[in-house]
Amino acid sequence: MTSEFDVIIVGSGPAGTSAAYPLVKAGLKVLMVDAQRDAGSSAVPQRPFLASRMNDEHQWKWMIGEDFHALNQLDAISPKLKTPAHAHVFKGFSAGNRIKTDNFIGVGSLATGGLSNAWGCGVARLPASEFSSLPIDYRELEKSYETVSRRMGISGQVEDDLSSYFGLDEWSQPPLPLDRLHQRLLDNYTRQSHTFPDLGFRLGRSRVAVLSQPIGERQACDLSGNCLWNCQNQALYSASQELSKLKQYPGFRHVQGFLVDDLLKHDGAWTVTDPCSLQRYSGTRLLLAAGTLATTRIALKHLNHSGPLPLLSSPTAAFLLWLPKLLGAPRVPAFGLGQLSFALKLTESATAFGSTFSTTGLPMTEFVNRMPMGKRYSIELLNNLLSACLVGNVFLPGHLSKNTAVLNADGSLKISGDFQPEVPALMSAAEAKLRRIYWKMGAVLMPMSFTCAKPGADIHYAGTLPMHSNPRIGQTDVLGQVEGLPGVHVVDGACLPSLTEKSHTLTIMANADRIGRSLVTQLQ
Amino acid sequence: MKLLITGATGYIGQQLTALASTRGFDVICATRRPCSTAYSWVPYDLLGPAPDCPSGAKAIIHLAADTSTGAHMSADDEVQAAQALIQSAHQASAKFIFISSQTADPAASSVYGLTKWRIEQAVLAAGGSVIRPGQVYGGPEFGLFGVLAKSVRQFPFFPVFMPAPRIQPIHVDDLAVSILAVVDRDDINGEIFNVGAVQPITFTHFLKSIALYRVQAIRFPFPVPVVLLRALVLLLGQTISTRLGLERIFSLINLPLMNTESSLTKLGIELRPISHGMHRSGHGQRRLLIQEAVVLLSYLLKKPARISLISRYVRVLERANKTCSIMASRLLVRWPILLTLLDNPNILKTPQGKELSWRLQVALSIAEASTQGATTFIGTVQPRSFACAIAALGFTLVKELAWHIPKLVVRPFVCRLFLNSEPARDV
Repeated sequence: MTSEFDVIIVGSGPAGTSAAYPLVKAGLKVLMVDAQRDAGSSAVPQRPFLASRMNDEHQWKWMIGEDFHALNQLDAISPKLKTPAHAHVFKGFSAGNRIKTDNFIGVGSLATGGLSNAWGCGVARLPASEFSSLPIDYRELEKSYETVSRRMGISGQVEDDLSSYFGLDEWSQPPLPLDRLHQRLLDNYTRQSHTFPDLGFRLGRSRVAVLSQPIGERQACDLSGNCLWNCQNQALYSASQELSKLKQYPGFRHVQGFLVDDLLKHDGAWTVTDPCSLQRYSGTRLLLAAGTLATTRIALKHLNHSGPLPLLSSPTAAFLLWLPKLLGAPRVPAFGLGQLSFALKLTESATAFGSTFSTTGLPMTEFVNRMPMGKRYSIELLNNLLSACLVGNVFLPGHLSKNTAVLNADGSLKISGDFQPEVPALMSAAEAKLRRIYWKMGAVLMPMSFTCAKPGADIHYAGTLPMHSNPRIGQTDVLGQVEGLPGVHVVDGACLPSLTEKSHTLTIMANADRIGRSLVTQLQ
Repeated sequence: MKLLITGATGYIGQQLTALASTRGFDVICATRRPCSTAYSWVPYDLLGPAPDCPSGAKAIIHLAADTSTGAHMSADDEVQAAQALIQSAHQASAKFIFISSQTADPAASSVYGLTKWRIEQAVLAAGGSVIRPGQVYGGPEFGLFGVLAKSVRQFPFFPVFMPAPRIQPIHVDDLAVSILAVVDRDDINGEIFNVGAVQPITFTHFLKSIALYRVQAIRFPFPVPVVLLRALVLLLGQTISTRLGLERIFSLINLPLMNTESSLTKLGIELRPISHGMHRSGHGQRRLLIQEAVVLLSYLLKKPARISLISRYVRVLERANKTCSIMASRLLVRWPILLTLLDNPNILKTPQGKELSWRLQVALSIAEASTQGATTFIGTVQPRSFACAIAALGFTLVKELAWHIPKLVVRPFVCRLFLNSEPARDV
């Protein structure tokens, strides 16, 4: 049996599409499969968020959904999981990929574009030191960082205290305008800039994969505030935007509705099968980009490896900030994702990273439920309070997680979540430090608002099959090739050797691009 | 197919004739006064001769009884009338079905119960069927149910007999269905069917349900020790007591419990919950859900919710197969703000509160996702002065704190006061 394709890529998210570009550009025959069966809800806000809320009689269709999607997800950890426009992104992932969890929030996507359809758009580059244990030429990776950064479009370029931390400014667009609350925070920070280095605190613009200048068909952000609900300008990057561009290459083919269940090796070619479809495809190389959890299960199942693997995730928490001076400020249209970010050094080995967001584009229900009072008065209180509030999040490095992934005898993947013992103390330290620091900037970290989330709530999964210079079973080589499965490469988060506190999507994409480029030289 | 029904213009009779005729029966009413022109009529009085049963009649259903408290006719007359009817049915080879009473007993304290028992014996001996209904309610306000409904409507208080008698209610339409089930079944001969709620409820609960679902008014309980009533009977003597209806109360108090489960199973009857049956329509579910939606949404929005939001709430619940309301108080309907008493974690975390908590969440999301909710939730798009905003925050906090006192006071019984535990019991 000869293979129909040079490369089959499983998954069409940020990793899969990034790996595909160098391959199709080199003229190789590439098949990309994903398991999307139905598209998202067509009900989206037609006007900027505040105008839609005030005037749109049918707003319930995009806030709750005609099938009352949001009400079936009342316990979901993030408003993203409740948005009808995102329902198809998360739907059916755990059942389809047979992921079982214990004390762990396991989220993934079968949709075209994967989780990037509903991400926070946070991007950052990792320094060379993070890859020092691997025989990887950092210049190669840097080239990949540049390629994917320019392709996706990043805003936030400004000379500030986080320029070196993000390391993306040379490839970025100018930042988006700050809202009044964030501007005030930044002004206060700048005015007292001498006091913060001693506290290990740096504040700066968030670097986000959101356009402040148009690229191709995508328009720049117009601050309509619909980030959570559906950006009509497509200013927010999603890997699904890549498909139309990839399809312009003659060697590229995209098949939807194909859920890879198993791999078969036959005459030097890899065949993928879907239990629900009679169709099967074979390729010389197979790239797994189904998302860390799904990729891990597929690889382990074919290896028949049932030993536990560590799964990295970032312990995370959220909090509410109040700027009392801005009480009574009117609601104004604002960008809904991270506006300002911070890096806070907690110990020698642990830095916390976080961003703050406007509360305007969020459903207030999220806040009402967290108030220690009756709902009627919570609504009344928040009505007056929330326009002077920001929400923030904190992430800690992945080495502080203690999750394991094990292949069960029935072929399912069991994820058990846990933290390293020092996490509660680190989180308390982070809370105390942030309270002090924000107080200096004229903001109150609201009492009882600092909430630590369950393991996995960050949805930054990585490192189950880490790249290693001398890989053992359960590891991959520097090209993500799974030890024991020659020709099968992991190109998503599963092959990252470490997970820092920073957003890891851009690194996954850059690494996938690097592997894609290396494979071109191997295959030609 | 013909059905001859005595007492067809009475409380049960009216509902039965209507149902029978919609089911395609040719109904003949055997009554003293002419019935509706929709049915055939033969004149019949319990004191007169039995009407001729037309040939081809499927059954005679004997509902007529002397319910007057005065001594209009003797017990023997009633038994004789029944025997004549049995004879008539026999001649036309029709079934004979007698609607008896839960009080029927050879040792009954009332003449009424004893008479019923005597007729039962005659019916069974002739191979007929007997149906003993529990407390019949619902539909038009006739019979004992009518008396009770009228007095609940009239007086601000309702009596709570101590100890409380227990009754097994059955909706008049469910009874009609049961009777026709017996008519339809050819394998049934000489049997007694007990029909009524499987789990008895207290008479107090029954009166409360009338107040809540039928009359829809707030009525206060008024304790009446049974001992006092007995003393009253001794004082007034038997005749006056009977005339005052005290005898009826005692037959209620001495009511023997029936095992209704096997009869209901055999007839394939499922009784409606009392909260639904009490409504004029006989189906209160949707109406109560709407009421619940009104309460929850106006509690959150602080003003009456638009109809579109209410119907959305009802749709969500019906999709989730939750067709029963959990609110059990007119007070809440009148003052939705009273929900504040229930809306605190101590109560929402209890098993009973969890359902309320979920429904509050649903109402919250629906309330927010509307133009009406936008102003309540998002707040102003106009700037306000700092002092104004501070004052508003302070005022909210004062209100929240002020509610803590009543919350604490009513906490032990607030669930029982406002929440319906009935859906669980009906299941």
